[in-house]
Amino acid sequence: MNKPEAFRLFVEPEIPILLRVARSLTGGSADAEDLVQETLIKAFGALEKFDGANPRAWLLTILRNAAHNVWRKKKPDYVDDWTLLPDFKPAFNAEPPRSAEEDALSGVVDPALTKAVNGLAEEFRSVLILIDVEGFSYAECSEILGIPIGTVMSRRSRAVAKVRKSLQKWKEEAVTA
Amino acid sequence: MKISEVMSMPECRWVRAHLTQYLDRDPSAPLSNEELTRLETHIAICEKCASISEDYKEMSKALSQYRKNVDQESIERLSNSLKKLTSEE
Repeated sequence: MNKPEAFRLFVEPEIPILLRVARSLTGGSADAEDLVQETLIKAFGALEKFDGANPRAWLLTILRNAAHNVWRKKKPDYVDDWTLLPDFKPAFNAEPPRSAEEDALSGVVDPALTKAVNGLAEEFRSVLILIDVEGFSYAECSEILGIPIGTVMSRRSRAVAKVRKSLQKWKEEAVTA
Repeated sequence: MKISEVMSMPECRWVRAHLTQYLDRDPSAPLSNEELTRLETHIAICEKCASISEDYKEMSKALSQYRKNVDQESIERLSNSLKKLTSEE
């Protein structure tokens, strides 16, 4: 088997996971596909440096670097993608003041939750989205972000506490307004 | 604030620090049996921590509803692109 064939054999099964991670980093399916495409090209270009030990970790590192170099400049807006999801039920019964457009989305998306999540610093938001939205385990999240499991746990704990605090604050403000 | 609430504050801090770990039940970060008992005993008697636990569960459930499958067409396009890339060599 030549190197290009071996590359394809190792990389092709990883495409779905790369897409899921890319989606969490870019906030949109179209951007995610572009990011994975860029990752595949970069990985193939760097094939000589690959030792064959762990293709997923290698690809995720390339994807993460590509995202940091290019996609972060675009300031992704996660809400745009999430609002496409059907049957969303609001959490915490939070009822911030709504515009007519937001009323139209009532029962489809919870603007308070998306606002709270998007208000998190990137290191907290990425852990929350990878675990809660994409359904990755702590170990997978650790591998994807290149951080220890202990850091995943502490960031997740703090992210959840921060989101809850924001939601509680807005709920209290809505009551007293 | 009640005396019993003040007395349980250090325990509240410990429980809240371990709450997501408890709720996630992730195989790479299990709580020990002693820790599970400690946490569940506290949740059973502390209204505030029980309420936070319920909020976390609700929030996690709400976020999981954003989950969706990866687009099959994207996978196919990228697989084709990969074939093209590797056959050009």
